[in-house]
Amino acid sequence: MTTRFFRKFFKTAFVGIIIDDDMCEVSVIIYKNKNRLSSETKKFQLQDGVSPTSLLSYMEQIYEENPYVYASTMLTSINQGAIPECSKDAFGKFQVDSRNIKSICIDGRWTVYTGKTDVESIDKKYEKLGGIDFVFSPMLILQRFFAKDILEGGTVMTALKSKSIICVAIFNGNRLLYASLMSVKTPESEKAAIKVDSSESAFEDFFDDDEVHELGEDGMVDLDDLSINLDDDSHMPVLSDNIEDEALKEATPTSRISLEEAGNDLKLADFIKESIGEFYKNQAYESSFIDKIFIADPNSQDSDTKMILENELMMSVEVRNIEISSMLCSMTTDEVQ
Amino acid sequence: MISYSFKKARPKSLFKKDTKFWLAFVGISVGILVGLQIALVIKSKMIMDNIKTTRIEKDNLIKKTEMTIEEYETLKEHVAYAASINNSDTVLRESMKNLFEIVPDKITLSKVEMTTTTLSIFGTTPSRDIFNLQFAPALKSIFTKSETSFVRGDSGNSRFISINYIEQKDDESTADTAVVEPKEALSSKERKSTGKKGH
Repeated sequence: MTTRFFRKFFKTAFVGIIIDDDMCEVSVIIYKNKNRLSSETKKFQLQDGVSPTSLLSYMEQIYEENPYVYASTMLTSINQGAIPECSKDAFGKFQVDSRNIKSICIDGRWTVYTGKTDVESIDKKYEKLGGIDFVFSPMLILQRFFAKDILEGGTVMTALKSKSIICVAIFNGNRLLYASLMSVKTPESEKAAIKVDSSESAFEDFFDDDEVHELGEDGMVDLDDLSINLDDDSHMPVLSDNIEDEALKEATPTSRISLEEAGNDLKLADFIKESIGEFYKNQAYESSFIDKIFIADPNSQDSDTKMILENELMMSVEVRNIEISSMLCSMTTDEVQ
Repeated sequence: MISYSFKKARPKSLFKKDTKFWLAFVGISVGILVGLQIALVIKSKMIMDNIKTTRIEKDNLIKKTEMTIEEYETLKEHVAYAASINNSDTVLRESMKNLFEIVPDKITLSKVEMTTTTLSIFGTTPSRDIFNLQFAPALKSIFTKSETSFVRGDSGNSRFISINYIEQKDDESTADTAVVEPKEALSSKERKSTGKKGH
């Protein structure tokens, strides 16, 4: 109560932080007595998972300049999910162990949940950045981000594609019908392989039987995927580039990123397919024909996600650029005010 | 208000940790100073009250002392008065004793009246001569003037009334002092003493 009163006279910063693999995105909106003073978003490259000094000093500056700071993040733990009911008994129905979980009933219609330890570990993860006040489920972010499209009617599949997780949620109006989540973190061994590969011919490496087999083992890429990609040069810019050695050497870092992105797109497509299959097959979920698929992609500008997904899923897909940290900021503002 | 977060916001404070520390330090210091000030004020007030009480007690004591002095003075006067009464009584007793000693055995006194300047003696004598010979000279030697009248009684004795005067003078000789002194003592109270001597 007193905090609410004093906030009228002092600046309040709403900070959204998201550490996504090797990137940290920070959005800050500063308010004073409900008047928006400024907003900005900054991205920081992490060095081997360690926050750079620039990020630490930036966060320190935010805390120095604003007496009230509310920081939030998105839960990227794999131990989370959502079920289309609010009762506690429903957890058993969807094979969720309801012990030691934290759950929030959303609008009395559906529930998001996660492990208690996962929430606690968030505090430790963001301790150096000033700590965290709010932790939001990615499903909630999806609902908020595609709110307009969801409410327009029909059954809509939404997906959030980040470097660390892929989250899928199927909505019908205000109701959640299905939700699923997977981790897309590249195993260290695979990363090393990519790094080594990038020093050689990207074209040859991509078609290397071993690597294709390796990815296939994860269930993310199969030969069909590759054939689709090869049909259209524009889908895989790296592959369609000049294969001269010099050009390849210059393009090496970009190639590595593009390869990762392409891999992630394929993983996303595969996961969406799996999710659709599960949604239709599992009797626990209320079946409904999916009208459209919306993808929230933080790196949509330089990605061919839409094309890959449409070819893969044979459905209309709309890819929208999302700034997760900004969404978190806006959700934090609502949470506090 | 519905919260959509898995975690509740940490309590916010307007002040940072080090500011809180300094504020607490300053607050405690100010608290101690204020406490000391209050203690001093209370102590000073208590001292002032004590002074006031002591002053009142002092005034009371002064009053009491004055009253005691007054009482002492009164008692002193009383003591002096009592002493003077006692003295005059002694003198009177002595005078009476002396008077009775000079009364001859044959004369009987029935009444003695004593004033400051007079001594009236009533009594009976076997004869006028006995009175004039044995008692009158003694009276004349003491008093300035002595007048006696006789009345013959039924049994042959004569009843007499002797009125003796003494002149009181401020510059009387020391020889008369012995006689005069009891008269002065008597004069203060205008005492009338009566006595009988039977033989």
